[in-house]
Formats: sequence, C-alpha cells, structure tokens
Amino acid sequence: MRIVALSALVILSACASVADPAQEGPAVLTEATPETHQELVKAVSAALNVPTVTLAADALTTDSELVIERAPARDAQGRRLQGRELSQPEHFQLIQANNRCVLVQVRTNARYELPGARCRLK
Amino acid sequence: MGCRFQRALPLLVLGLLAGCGGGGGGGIGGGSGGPGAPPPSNDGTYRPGVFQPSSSFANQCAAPRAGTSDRSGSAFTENMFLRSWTNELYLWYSEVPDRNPNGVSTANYFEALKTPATTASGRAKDQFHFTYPTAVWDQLSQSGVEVGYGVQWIVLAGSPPRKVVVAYVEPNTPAATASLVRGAEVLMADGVDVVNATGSNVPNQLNAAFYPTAAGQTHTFQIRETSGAVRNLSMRSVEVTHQPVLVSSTLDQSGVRVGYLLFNDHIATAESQLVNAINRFRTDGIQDLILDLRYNGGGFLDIASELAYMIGGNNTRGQTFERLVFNDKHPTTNPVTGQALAPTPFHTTAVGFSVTAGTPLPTLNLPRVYVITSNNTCSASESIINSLRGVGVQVYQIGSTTCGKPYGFYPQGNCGTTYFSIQFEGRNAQGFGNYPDGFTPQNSPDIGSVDLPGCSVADDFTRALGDPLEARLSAALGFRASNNMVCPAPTGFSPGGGFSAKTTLGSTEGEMYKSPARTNRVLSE
Repeated sequence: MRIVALSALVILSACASVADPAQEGPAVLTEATPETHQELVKAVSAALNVPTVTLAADALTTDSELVIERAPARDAQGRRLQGRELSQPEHFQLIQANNRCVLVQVRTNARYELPGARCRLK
Repeated sequence: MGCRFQRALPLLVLGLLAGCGGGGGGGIGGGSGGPGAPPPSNDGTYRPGVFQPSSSFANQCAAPRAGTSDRSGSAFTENMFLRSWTNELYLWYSEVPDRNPNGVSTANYFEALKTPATTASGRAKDQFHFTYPTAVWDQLSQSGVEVGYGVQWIVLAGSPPRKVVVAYVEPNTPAATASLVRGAEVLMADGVDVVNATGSNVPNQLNAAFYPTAAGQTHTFQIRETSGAVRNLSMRSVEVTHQPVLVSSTLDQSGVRVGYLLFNDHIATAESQLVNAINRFRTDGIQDLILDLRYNGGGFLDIASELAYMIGGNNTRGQTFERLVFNDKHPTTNPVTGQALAPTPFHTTAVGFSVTAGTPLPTLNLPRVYVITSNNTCSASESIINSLRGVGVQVYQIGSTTCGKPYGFYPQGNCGTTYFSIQFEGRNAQGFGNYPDGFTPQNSPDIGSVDLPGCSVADDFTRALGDPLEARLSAALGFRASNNMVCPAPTGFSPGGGFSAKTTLGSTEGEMYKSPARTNRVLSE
C-alpha cells in the first residue's frame, strides 16, 4: 500500500509539474488492445489496493468515466448476498494531459499514467 | 459526464475498500447484560451469558494467512469472535441460543448463530445467513461487468431431471450472436446431458459450461427452441457489460400511453439508464407505468430510492424512503459506521453513481404503479414497493410472491471468511418493514405474506420480455384497463412451492442465477 501511495504521489507530482490546464480534459482511449487493457487493470488495481479487477475489454473507449463496484456475490439461490448495498462505488476518469493518458481516481485525485495507452480528448 | 472532471471532486466514501464493508469487530455494543449481570470477563474463556468484545478475539485464526493481520489462534477464538459479534450486532441477538464454542468447527458454529424462530408461513425467520471466502467477496469489477455469455439462465430444476431455460439475452453479447432467445431450453452442455446426467463430476462440468469463470472459454450447448427445433451452438465467454435497464417502451393502450420498464439490477450504471428511460416516458406522456422487477434481486439502496422518486414525484418528496432499524442496543446510532441513524429520503437528485451528483432527477409524478414480481424480486427491489406504499403511492402487484428480504448486513471478515448476519431491517415512512414472507398478489394469497392488489401470474417464457402478449405484462395491462378489477386465473408461485402441475415451459417460475459467483453450486447431482 505504501508503494502504491508513493507511486501515486510521484505521478501526481510529475503531472503537477507539467500540467497545463488548457491541455487537460476528459478523454477516451482510441484503441482497446490487450496491452492497454492490462495497463488499465494494473492502474485500477493499484489505486484500490486489490490484486486485480474485472474490466470490460472496451473500458474507457466510449466514456471517459469508469465506475468500480464490488463484483456481485450471490447466494445458493442465485440472489445477491448484498441486496441492500449501502456503500458507494469508486469512480475513475481518464484524462488527457499534455498528450499523456492519465487515469484519475476521483475520490482521492490520485493520478496514474498509462504510458502505453493512446487517447483523445472527448 | 465530462463535467465530473471539472467540478470539485466528490468525497464518495468507499465502503468497497473497507475490507468487508465495515464491521462490528471493534468492541461495539458490549452485550454483557444489564445491571446485575456478571462483570465481563476478558480472560478469553467461555462463560454462558457473558460476552466479551468481539474485538478481543478478532483475527485470531486457526490457520493464519501470511501477509495479513491474522494472528495465531484457534477454532475456539474464531468462534468466540463470531459469538460476541453476533451478540453485538445481530438483529435478533436475544433469540440466539448461547452455545458453547468449544469443540465445534467454526462453520458449524456460525451456522447456529441465528434465530431458530419461524415466520407465519413456517419458513425460517432468518433465511439470509451466509459465509463467503473473503478473497472472493473482496473482488471488484467495472460496474455491470461480469464474465459470461450475456445470457441469463433460469434453473427450474437443479437436479435430475434438470431444467435450465433462457430468461433473457443481452444485446451485443455472445449469446445474442448465437441467437439465443428467451425460453430456449438447454439439453446438452459440453456433451453432457443437462437433463439426466448423473455422476460426481457432472455438476462441475455443467457449472463450468453455464458459468465460465474467465474470459476466453468456449463451451458447446444443445438447445431446444420454444418452437421445438433443436440445434447446437458454441459460445466463448467474454467480459459482458450488463444493461440493467434492458427494455423501456411506451405501449399505446386504446389511446392511453403506458410505460413498460424492465429493470434488472441496482448497479451503478443503472442510474443514468433509469434517468434516460424516465425522461423518454415523460416525453411520451405516459399515464401509467409497469415496472418489471421480476429478475431484480436488489443492489444499491440509493438507486431504489431514486427510482421510487422518479415514479412518485411530489407524492414522495421530502419523505422517508427507508429507515434502517438495528437491534435494541443501537436505537440511535449506526453501530458499524458510528453515524447517527437518519432515514434515507426519496432522492430527488442524483447520488452520483453514473449521473453527476446533484443533478435533479426527472419524475413521472404518478399516484400508482404496476410492479411485476417473482421470488427473485428481493431487497432493494422490495424496498421500492414498500417505500412507495409508505407514502401512499398505490402499488399493484402482478406476478408471484417476492422473496421477503427487508433486511441488510454489514459483512464482516475474519480469518479469510466473510460473514453475513442480518443486522438491520428497512422500514418505510409508516414504520413498516415486516414482510419476511414477501409481498404477494391478493388474488392468490400466501400465509404470512403481505397481500397487495393485483394478479398472480406465472412467468411466461414463450414471449419476449416487453411483448404485450407476455403473460405478466398482458395481465398488468388488462388489470389496468379493467380499472384494477379483473385478473386472469391465478397461476403464480409461492416461495418454496413446488412446480407440480405448473411446470410447463410456457408458464413456470424458477430460480435465477446471475453468475453464482464461483463458490455456489447451481447444478447438482
């Protein structure tokens, strides 16, 4: 967790040092390759401190926002275990900042650069 | 959506990351009895009627996991933790027999940590007492994304002679590409006779075929269409993005516009889809709404509140949607979050699941709603019914008895297992939440259930969902047209009821299995 937080800080400060608000904005991925998908899974997992997370193959290709929630667990009858969910999901947003694709965790504002991804302003 | 980036970032408190969504292990509540009770002992021994804080036994495990907060303990300490935690937070803690935790496996001990009482219908009062592997429970996913084919199976019989049919297929999925349609019955899966095969390995083979655990798995099926035609097909599993609002349409009924909304899951992406659907209904000028919750087992309670407002509008504004009631040790404070207990209102603005938080929600301002239900209509879905009734919105029920789950949990992890033990009841604006036997249409009442005006009608797999001729939708339309007087002959099902003469493909009801999460067996020997 400490490593993750540190990485986020590093990226945060790196972005902060070069960020030009005029060039920042919500973005979508221009291609959904297995490599990009893996990079995205890694970033989200790091942000949430979990081993992995299930994402759609085309995540962030049409919408700049990514909503993460608990994978629905079912009882033996197939019903949701948690039918009255009181928690809130986690939101991420893809932005383009200085021609780089950066995933922002909305709750914390932590930034995770996706160096292998290609994106465009939405 | 883009404005979410521009505005101040919302401080969404994330229960997801709190291990198991919070928990009672923190010495909450105590529970050693009132004045005159023996003083609590902290020596770790079992004394009947004496409950030490659950925190004093937390994470003391028979098999500590490396790299976690687990410490060396035993089945006894795990049992003692559960015993105290139950005493602190279980809704009916005073009804739980105090059993000696020595010499009992933790699984068996937890199973007995619930009320032995039954409801008026004779069902167990507590039907929602579970464990789950913490590693599985903690898994996260993009909202609505699950590995599968995009088909929702209904298991009408899980053991031979088994019967599995298609409830619905989502667009742009492998199942849609394979032209699977509602009502098709699966005869073979990966060469195994789904109906009749026996043998110890058969359940594994069938479950693997119906519920793939990873993307990229190809499985073969033989199906019988509703026409009787038999054909073979194969599907490759992918990360399917579910569409929680699968159908929203406006039906012209002799000049009266009636909205039909098939709402299948209270997930985050539902918020925007519901808003879009309600806006379309407003544009269409609908005068009544038929809300189909037959396959909706609940989810985010806030989304239920939003939808209830979008239906009832001014009838709901400023009123209580649902109030959580914990056990009598916690009358004013949520014992898990520590916050003062405050009712959930009918939300008039978006909470921010997939619509920008604070956006005013559209509303239909309806004084009544027709709700299609089944025994898979659970929890947050039932709260829509109960909460609208609580503020005087007339709810007509078409279908069969709902599951009867006015309860909720804060799951608690300990030593690699996450425990689900009922901790609160949801009550409406009138303080009513006593429907453990579900809601049922009053023309086919069940013992113990809460009867609502409407019609008991079995599920109809011969017609597409949203087809005005599908039996439940047809009954809803007919009931409305008759000024809420006339139903077809009752054909619905009760919870736990057999299928008997009603077991025909055209009109039956089964258990719904939405990706039963890896650990639960659906199809058995």
